[in-house]
Amino acid sequence: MRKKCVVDYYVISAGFGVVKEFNMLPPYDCTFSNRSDEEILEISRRLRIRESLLQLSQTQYDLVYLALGKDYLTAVEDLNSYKDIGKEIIHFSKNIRNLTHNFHSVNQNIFVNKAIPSSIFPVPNGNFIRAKGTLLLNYAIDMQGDENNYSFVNWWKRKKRQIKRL
Amino acid sequence: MKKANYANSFKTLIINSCGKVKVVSQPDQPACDDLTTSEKRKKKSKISVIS
Repeated sequence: MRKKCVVDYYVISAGFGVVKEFNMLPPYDCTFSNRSDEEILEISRRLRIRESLLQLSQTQYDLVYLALGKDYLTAVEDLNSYKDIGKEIIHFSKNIRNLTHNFHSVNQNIFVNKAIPSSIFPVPNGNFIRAKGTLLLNYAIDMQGDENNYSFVNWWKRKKRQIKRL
Repeated sequence: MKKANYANSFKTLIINSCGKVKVVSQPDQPACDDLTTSEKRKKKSKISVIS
């Protein structure tokens, strides 16, 4: 993607909060997965995850890609509080309602399907589909051929039509 | 007229989750809850994100 546009990449860690790429961390074994919502929120608030993400709102992004599962979305708390961060905000939850118009939910079940030919969703490594990352990779690949329209939402609409034709 | 460079002005923010950081050189590290912040900062290893 960096061949085509500016990319800021952050990771939400249950051990360290919001971490910028290339930051060095000690080894640890800590995750939000399989914890109760109360536990997740307690850790998240201790690590000031929401505040760290809101600081990123100082930049207006064209695309915000939240490659987060359910537990990590719980950790970021109210998604609407990040509405000003980007023109298109992509997330993977089917259950979050009443979001502002710039949030777009992608139904992961549509493309996590080994029957889909690799020409549409090439997988970088291994025999399984790394869902959210693979989707973004495919978007990035398709960016190479379109100089003036990088809308993820439009791209995903086109991809879904391709899948339906299969 | 000079064409605007759309690509260079397009800004993307990716937020990923980090479920694990692989232990490579120090196999017996305690879980994160057992470390103080300063201890965490002292011990450094390469981050490996598994989403």
